[in-house]
Amino acid sequence: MALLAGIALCVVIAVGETVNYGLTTGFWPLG
Amino acid sequence: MTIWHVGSFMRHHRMSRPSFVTGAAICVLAVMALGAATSAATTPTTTTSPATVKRQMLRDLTAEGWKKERIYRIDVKNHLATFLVGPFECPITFPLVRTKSGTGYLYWWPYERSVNDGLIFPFPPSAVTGLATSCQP
Repeated sequence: MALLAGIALCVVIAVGETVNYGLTTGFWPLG
Repeated sequence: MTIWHVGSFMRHHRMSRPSFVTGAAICVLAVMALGAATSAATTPTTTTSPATVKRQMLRDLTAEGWKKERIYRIDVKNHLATFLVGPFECPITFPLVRTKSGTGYLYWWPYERSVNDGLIFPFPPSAVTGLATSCQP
């Protein structure tokens, strides 16, 4: 259970950082 | 969400810290492996040789209408390039006749085209006839 929670938290952070990078660098332009 | 929230959540669900850290470490390693794989897949492995790049540049310049000519004299201080126009050797300033370098050659915009572009004035007939060493637009 704790193992899965650790993995889940890491995945959430990784996805968030990826999206943040994509948006701030203009890799995924909005509008 | 702070680290306190994470700790509170773990205590509430009676999770062990080592297991949580192990899970996070597994995920971090997986993300790093994914990043490395993505980078390896998207980075081009074949590099174009400098000679090929230069050939392509020369082709592009010729297609644009640039002419490869021998420049006889360059006055860097006064921005004058001297080369042969017709039977006369005429000083042409750099802003008027554009040049391109960096390809191993010096390219200049053909004189006739520069006149058509309005960049330089055509030589009046009086200046052309009888002048051997200099000519003024």
